[in-house]
Amino acid sequence: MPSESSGSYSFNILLVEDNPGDARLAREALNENNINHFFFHVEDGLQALDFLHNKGMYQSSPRPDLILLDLNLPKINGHQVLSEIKSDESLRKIPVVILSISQSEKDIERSYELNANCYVTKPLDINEFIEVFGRIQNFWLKTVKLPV
Amino acid sequence: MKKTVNKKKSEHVLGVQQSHKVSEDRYKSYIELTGQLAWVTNPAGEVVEDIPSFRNFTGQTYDEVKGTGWTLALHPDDVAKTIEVWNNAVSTRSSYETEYRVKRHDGVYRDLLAKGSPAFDKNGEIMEWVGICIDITERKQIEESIKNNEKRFRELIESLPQLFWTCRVDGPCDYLSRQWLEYTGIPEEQQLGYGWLDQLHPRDRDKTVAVWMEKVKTGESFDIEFRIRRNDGVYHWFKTRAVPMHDADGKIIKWFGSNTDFHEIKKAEEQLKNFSKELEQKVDERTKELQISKKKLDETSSIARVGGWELDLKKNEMYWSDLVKQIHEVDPDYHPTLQDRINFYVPEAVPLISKALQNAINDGEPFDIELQLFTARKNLKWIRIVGKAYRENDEIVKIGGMFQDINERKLAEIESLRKSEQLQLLSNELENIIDSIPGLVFYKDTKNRYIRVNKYICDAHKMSKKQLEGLDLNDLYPREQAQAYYEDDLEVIRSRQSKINIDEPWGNRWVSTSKIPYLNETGEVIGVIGVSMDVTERKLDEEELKKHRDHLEELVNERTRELDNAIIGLKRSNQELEQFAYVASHDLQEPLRMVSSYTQLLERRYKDQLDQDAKDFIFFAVDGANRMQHLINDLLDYSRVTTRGKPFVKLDLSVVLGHSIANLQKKIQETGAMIVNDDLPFVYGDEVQLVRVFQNLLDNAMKFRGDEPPRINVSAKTIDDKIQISLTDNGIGIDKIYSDRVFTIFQRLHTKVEYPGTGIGLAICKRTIERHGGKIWFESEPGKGTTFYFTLNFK
Repeated sequence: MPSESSGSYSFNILLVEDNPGDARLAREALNENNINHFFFHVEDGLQALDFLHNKGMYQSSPRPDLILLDLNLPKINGHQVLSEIKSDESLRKIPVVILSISQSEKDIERSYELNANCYVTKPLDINEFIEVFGRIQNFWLKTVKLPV
Repeated sequence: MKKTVNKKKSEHVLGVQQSHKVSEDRYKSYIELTGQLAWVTNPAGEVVEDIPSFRNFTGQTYDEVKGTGWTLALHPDDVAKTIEVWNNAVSTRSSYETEYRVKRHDGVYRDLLAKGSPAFDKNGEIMEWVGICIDITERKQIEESIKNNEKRFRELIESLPQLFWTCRVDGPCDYLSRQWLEYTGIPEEQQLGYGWLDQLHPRDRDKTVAVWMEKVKTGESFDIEFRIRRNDGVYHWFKTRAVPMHDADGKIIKWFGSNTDFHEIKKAEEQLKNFSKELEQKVDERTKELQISKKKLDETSSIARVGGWELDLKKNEMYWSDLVKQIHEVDPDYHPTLQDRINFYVPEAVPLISKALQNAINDGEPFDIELQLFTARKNLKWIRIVGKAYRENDEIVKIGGMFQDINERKLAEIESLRKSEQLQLLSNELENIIDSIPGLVFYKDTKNRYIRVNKYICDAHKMSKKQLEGLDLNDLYPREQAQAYYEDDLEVIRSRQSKINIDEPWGNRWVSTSKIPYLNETGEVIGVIGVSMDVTERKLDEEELKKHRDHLEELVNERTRELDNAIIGLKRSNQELEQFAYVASHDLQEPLRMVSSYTQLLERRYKDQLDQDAKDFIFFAVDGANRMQHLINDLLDYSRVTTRGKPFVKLDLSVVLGHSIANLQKKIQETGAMIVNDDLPFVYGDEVQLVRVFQNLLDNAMKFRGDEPPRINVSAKTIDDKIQISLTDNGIGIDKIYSDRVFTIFQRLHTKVEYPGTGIGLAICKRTIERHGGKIWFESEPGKGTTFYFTLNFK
């Protein structure tokens, strides 16, 4: 549910990423685009599920408008988190973008089987990286119409 | 109502049970008629109803058999096994079969085959166990004796000097004796079936196969001669006899054959034949000569021409009887003079006869001498003159005696003497020959005694011929040896056949002995003639050779083991390396991305605040990180050639090349390259990998171009069982000294500025081609161009 802020919606974006360097890079990339958003970051699959189910230390966490999910995660891996989200009536409508460095066909195939909304490989070049994040934001937060 | 029904039902059941009982008893008695024992026990294996047949067999009473009492009749050693079988049957609720020994009423243990089955009630519970026992003692004995016979037969076969084999009815060989295997020195598994044919002399193979196939069809036994290769590579002639074995119906069930080393026999036979022929000839000659002289002697005596003579000392007169005159060939009315007593004799004889006469006249000494004289007709003649003195009143008055023409006898005697001297000479010669033979030559009687021996034997024993001849071999050799020699003699004597080349010990040496029967005139065997040659050296050589061979074999085995271990180690280390490379490149990506991303981010964010130096530094940092990224990716690719390879499928190489060209379209346009290819064949391989090989090679050809636009020619040809692909360019070429280096990972011949790249392309090509079982190499002339070759399989 987008939050009202100074006349335009502010979106909640949840990043699930264990590598702090990557997380910061993602945050920087998202900030490069002029789309208002709140950025939330969790470091493993377990925290991600707690965040989504408002459990543990995430009792009052908001419902995200977009989930950016890495596959290679400690404890509960990305595919398991994805499967969990997409089988939960209350969560399955949230768009999930898989962000991974893996180009493995197996990983891609599996993600779509589990109903990922899209699969994106992280570009190596920083400029491309920033551009891809801008596109993801623009597309999922601006272009498409999602159920309310 | 209900009650009645129940009663009826139970009556009915009882009736059925009774009729069951009757047929069961009848069935039991049928079984017993066949000599089998039938029995029933309760579910626990206890006897609860009498089993007379078993009891009668063991001689136990019912009380003794009852319960588990029947097990007391088992042989103590079989009880544990029987209980195990029984427990197993009870737990699996299934039939069982076992063998055990049971003490019969007469105290003898018999082998019984026991079979038992559970009988179930309608609830599926075991109601009872029923079964039979069969006395299989005789059957087991027969089986045992057949086994023994077979074993004995096999042992016998293996003890003979011949090579033996058996073949199946349809031809292939299914057994080769130990001798065959030892002779050829080739393992059995390589020879069974038709592998044995490889051991035949190439010139004998076709003939043998033809005969064999023919005879397998007609089923006739046959003889054939062919050469078989010995383990040292020498071919020996063998006489082979093959005989079909028939079953009771006359059907052929097997072929049985033997091969006799005919080579050695042939050689030895030849020698012996010559030797015995020579002997026979001598014996013949001698016999003939003796006959002649005997005949002559007979003739002489039959016409014993004996006359009388007298020398009257008083009257000084000579008297000759008519025959004496005849002998002298003088007229019948000839009056011999005193002078005639010596006149006719040959000069050498004169002193003899004079002396004899003188002695007779003076001392009355009798004489009997044989002399030669010339007759009146000048014929030289041998005569015998016997004389003695006659006395009157102690005075010698007359000498007289016998006068005999012994010419013919004498001549015959002389001739005979001459002949016998000659014979002696021949015999000496023969003896010398035999004495010069560097081996044992002997003639033995039928009682293991030497009759004649040659010098070799004398020398060996340091004894004379006289000492040896007549000596029992038991007094000369260790008992077992003497006995073994004698057994061979007896065999030769009995069979009247030669025994050729038997290797046997002789003292502490080895000899190869051949013996032939020695027959007298009536064809009776009176001994054996034998020749033994010392083969100790050969034996030692053989042993040495064998030792040497064993040693070599051991060495080869050792090397093979070492090699196997090395291969295993290599494989493991290869796998580990691949794993390492894969993991390392994956895990290396992450930090590298951080370095490169954040440096770039730094530049992006703080562009305006950085001076040119800072920007240069950032450029080198990013460039280094990017290059490392490429290296890691290349390393990953390189390790994936084997870890991520796909199974080989049939591929059209033209299509594969097409893919590579399509992938390089941009570069081809940039460089204006021209790629020409022949029709390429089909090969087996991994399409993705082979596209990459062409791509790397074409890419290199364009990268290392000369001044002219690149021209690349791709062609293929078949060489033996491989396809050889060649890729020729007109580029800058490669110096030959780099022929190994170019295929090594990350080895570059040029600076990055001249020609960018990590130096992985050819290493991946090499690894890929090797994974495909091929080879890759190049030929080049610097400045003119390079041709890369690689081979692939089309099968």
